[in-house]
Amino acid sequence: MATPAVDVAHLLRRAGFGGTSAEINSFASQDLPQVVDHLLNDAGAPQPGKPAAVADPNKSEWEQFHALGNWWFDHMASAPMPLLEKATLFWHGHVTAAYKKVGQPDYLWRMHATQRANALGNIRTMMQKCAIEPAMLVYLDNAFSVDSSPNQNFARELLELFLLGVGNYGETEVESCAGAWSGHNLNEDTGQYEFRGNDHDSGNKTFMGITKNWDGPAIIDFLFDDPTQRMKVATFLSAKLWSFFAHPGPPANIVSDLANVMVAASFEMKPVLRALFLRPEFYSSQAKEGLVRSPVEFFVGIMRASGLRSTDAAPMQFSDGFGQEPFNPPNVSGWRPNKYWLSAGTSGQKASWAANLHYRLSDQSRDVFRDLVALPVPQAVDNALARVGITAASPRSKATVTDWLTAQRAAPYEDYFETFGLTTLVMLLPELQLA
Amino acid sequence: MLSSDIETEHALKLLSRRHFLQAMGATGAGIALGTYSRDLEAYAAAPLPPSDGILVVLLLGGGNDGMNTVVPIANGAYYDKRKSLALSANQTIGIGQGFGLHPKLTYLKTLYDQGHVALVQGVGYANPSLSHFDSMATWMRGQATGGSFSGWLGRWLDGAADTSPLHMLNIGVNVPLHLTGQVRSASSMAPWGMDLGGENDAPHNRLYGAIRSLSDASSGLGPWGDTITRVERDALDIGRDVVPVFASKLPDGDMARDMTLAARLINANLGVRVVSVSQDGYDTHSNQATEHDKLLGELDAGLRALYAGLEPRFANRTTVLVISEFGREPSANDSAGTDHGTTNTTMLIGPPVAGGMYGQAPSWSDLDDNDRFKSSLDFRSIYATVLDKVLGADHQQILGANYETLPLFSGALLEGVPAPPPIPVVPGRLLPVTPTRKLDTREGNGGPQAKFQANVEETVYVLGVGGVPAQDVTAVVMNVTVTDPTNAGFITVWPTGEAKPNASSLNFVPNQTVPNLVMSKVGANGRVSLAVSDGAANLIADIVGYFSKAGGSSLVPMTPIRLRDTRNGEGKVGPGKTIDVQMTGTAGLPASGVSAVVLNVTVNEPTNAGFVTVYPTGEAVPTASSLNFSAGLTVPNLVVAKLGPTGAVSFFNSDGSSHIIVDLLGWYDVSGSGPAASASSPQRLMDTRDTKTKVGADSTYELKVTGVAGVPDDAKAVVLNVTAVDPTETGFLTVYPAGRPLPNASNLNFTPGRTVPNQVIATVGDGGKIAIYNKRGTTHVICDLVGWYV
Repeated sequence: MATPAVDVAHLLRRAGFGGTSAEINSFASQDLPQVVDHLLNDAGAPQPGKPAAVADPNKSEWEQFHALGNWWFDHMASAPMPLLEKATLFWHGHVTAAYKKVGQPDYLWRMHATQRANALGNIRTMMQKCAIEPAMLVYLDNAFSVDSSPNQNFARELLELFLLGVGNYGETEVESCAGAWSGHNLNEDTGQYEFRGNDHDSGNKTFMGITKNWDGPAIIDFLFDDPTQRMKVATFLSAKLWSFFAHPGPPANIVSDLANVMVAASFEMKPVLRALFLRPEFYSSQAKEGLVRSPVEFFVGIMRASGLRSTDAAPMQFSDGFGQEPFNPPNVSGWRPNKYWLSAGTSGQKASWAANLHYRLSDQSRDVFRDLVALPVPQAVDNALARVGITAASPRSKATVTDWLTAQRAAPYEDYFETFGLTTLVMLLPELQLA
Repeated sequence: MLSSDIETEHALKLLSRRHFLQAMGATGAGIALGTYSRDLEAYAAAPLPPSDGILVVLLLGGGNDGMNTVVPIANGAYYDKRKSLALSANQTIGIGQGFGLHPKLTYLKTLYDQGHVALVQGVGYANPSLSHFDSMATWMRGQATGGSFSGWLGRWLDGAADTSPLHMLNIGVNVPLHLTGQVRSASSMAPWGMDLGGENDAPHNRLYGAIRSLSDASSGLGPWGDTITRVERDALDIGRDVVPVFASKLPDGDMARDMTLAARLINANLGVRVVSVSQDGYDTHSNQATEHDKLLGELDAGLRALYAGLEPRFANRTTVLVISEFGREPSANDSAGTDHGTTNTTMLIGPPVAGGMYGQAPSWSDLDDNDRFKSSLDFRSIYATVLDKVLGADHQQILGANYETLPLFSGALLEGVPAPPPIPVVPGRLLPVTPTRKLDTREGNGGPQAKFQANVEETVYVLGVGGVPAQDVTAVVMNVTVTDPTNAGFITVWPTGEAKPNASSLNFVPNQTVPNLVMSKVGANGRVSLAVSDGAANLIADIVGYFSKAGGSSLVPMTPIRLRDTRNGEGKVGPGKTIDVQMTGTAGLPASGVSAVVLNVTVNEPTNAGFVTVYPTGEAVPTASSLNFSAGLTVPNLVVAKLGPTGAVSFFNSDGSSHIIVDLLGWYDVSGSGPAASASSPQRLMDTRDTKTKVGADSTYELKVTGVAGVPDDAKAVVLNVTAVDPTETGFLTVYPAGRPLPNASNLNFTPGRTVPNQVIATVGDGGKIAIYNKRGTTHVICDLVGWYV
């Protein structure tokens, strides 16, 4: 049974960064479960090694950080398994570390590699590994947390932001968790995690009503094993997954269903995502109209459709101004959705980026829309929209671009402005700002 | 969880309201292209009514350590618990009542002494959350009970009559929760400027018209799709209106930059009522001392920049509210930091504020079950007060309950905050003189015994007397003091014979006495012109130095050093008394070769009105003043002081007893290693945008600078304001003499898409040219001439 093309286009945007008309038509001939299984199949997905620039001693830390970000943008724009990139982006914003505190692009890359390797794998494995990533140890101050005065930063965020959510634990749990994680430190000389028994609180601590000699990793295991706690973890993460892939404000029944799938699947990601993408509500107008593209999605969507790469699209140079710099979230809770991305400031930044892209390319006579000046208005507009990944323009957007281009071409001595104006106008169309 | 997300139903409300407003406006229906005009049309930015209070919210993200901001120096428990993080009484700036301000808060102290700072202690809320996000969200929502995701100022905006997107602004690219209402939200403005709407030619206006028309009717893409087009329209409108705000360079440092921007946006009189600025990094779990010093230093610079930038008519009704999501724990942790706490000190700053200490300092012994401070005052009481007094609202509607308000505002507008004077930056050769009075309208000295009247130009002859020669003088340095002004306004000083520039040398409010150091080119007939903008005022002008073609000393700036503070046990300087301060051979100054010093002189707690005269030690006290003050007020002023034969400077106190504080900012080197400067009215020498040809990567552009724009053929160097516009890569410009090897240095660094200006002193090379080298990418370059050296 075929799948409606609008549903396929929506699925390809959310489970990746959008598809071409050819891809949409091809998938539309298949059943939805077939399409979803295809998207979830990451067999043979490349496991990239550390980008060379991150290890380049001739580059400053800041240059390495930018190179790392640009590498990921390019990888997202070209990777054959976009859902793996999208899921990595989800975890990147959920279990966070920020360059502005950590520095050390190598640490950031290592945590990214861990998240990438487990993004569609097991959530417990991901959490255990991320907890002792050097980037995490530095970012949330566990690197030097000792039993005499444990630092609560990591312990608190583990419970509040990573696994349980506010209201599902008390201050006792935070204190005990901090003690349990004391001594799980960083050896700065080797750049490796190190357990220091002398600095670890090996006394009795009370966590969720159980008093014993809790150790940090055992606390994570407990939360994934205990029947009560694991359902809370699954509920918390299911709500966040639905908010990320479908729309914020997830309905309780959907969250509950996904959480049951998650627990039954022992916290494997693929069965949960399969259930999520097969929910009829995922194809409701509430979901289809429910998300604004994050800046990363904006860049990658355009880069995938147009073939532009970071050397031209310069995503890292603008992502800070757009409000979402990869590897550098504003705080440990990652990024917020929707309204957070919409302001006069970000609109202005998008226009500035479009102008910059135009200048950058026109300097080299390979402007993204350069060849369109030779085409009649209707074909020029169709090509321009398709080239940035707008497969179904609204009548209003299409008419606006058409009318503008017609008037622009009628103005004498202003032909120099055409490709600049077209780049700016198309990049600001609402279709490109919606996820 | 903190979320600034407007739920979809709110987006729908936003739309219906917006569309309603739009339908009432002039915008046509349908999808015909609107013509985008700079004339104000459906949307109009209107000035604020003159009595409306203005609010600047300053968010300290991460949880500021209030105990090390307003330090309880009389409390032993503080020293016990904070251990090495505790600040000793000597380190802090004492404000009495057992408290001292963090040593970096010097400007805050100045404002505190002027009665413009309210420190509210023990502020928090019941059952405090220790999560940054949860607690910040609680502060941002500002509601009696939790629930919807809207912010307290956003809800105020919902009900505001002014529908301009400029009414409430966030400096940044996003809109934080406290500025997000149920049906409206603030606009955001990137600190490097708006990138849409600022051009004004036919093709741009056609393009803007097309972007604008996207929001004329629904996109058919759902509520978010329509919100997107509406926000883009707002960006166009704002971009058009704020063009002048970005016309001149903003200071370095994020806080100083953002607060200067806030001041300019308010000064632009576009109806800006609320501005929000944020500073992150206060989550000092480790290595707190260094980080906190840096942050509070930046904060203090930000406050200084705001009040230095605000015109008096806005400064005297602008209140700054400084908040943070929580304070820190009483005890230091083992990482030389502090963990998340509860209660904090909230600051309100500005002329409308009734200064002093409010609330109740939290007890260090009666702590909560987790050994954290107990709060005694709900933060919503402060919000209620601000809403009622500054924003003219009914706080109960916005906060959802009736809160007790506090007497934090004086009710009447207080005396404006004097703007700290800028250091004179013309790096020429100065010849200091013993201060000589050229004008005193109170005495009829230098002119009639009558106040200056608004917009009437008066001139002063500055050559040939009082140590200033009749020839070769290019510019004079004067201490100008305004006293007894009838209105708020400003003084402009400019070279006689030239058009009066749109600039101010000194700002004041009624009945205020304000001194400032002013540098001016000498105009026709050896004269300098002065005018007062509003009302009438007495003016006093004393010459303290001049720039000469015949040689002189060049400025050597320093990191400021405190040389003398009579509050440190020495006691006040009595009436008619003088203190001497040795300059040469101390504080890093050489033993000889110093002609003058640049000082920041502050008078503190004077018992009477009077003045201080700074003059060369060994000479008689001249009839002149460096600093005029009223009883009880703290007044700082920048002073250029000639040294006496022994290398010392004297400070004469005219009346009553006053503390005197002397900070050294720089000195003048008699070797005058730099050539002599000539100041020029700014002139554009080059703008690659005119030819639409950028300077390419790894390439050099040569520019003839002598024999043009009045620069003589024998000029050795030119002073330029060089601006890079729309660079495509991260790179830099190097300006160097044409025909010479490219030096390994940069004059101006930039990142893609940014506009970056900098002042450059460029040595002239072969053929009277300078070379401008661009390292990477392509960029437009603008060069404005502001002076030269011969």
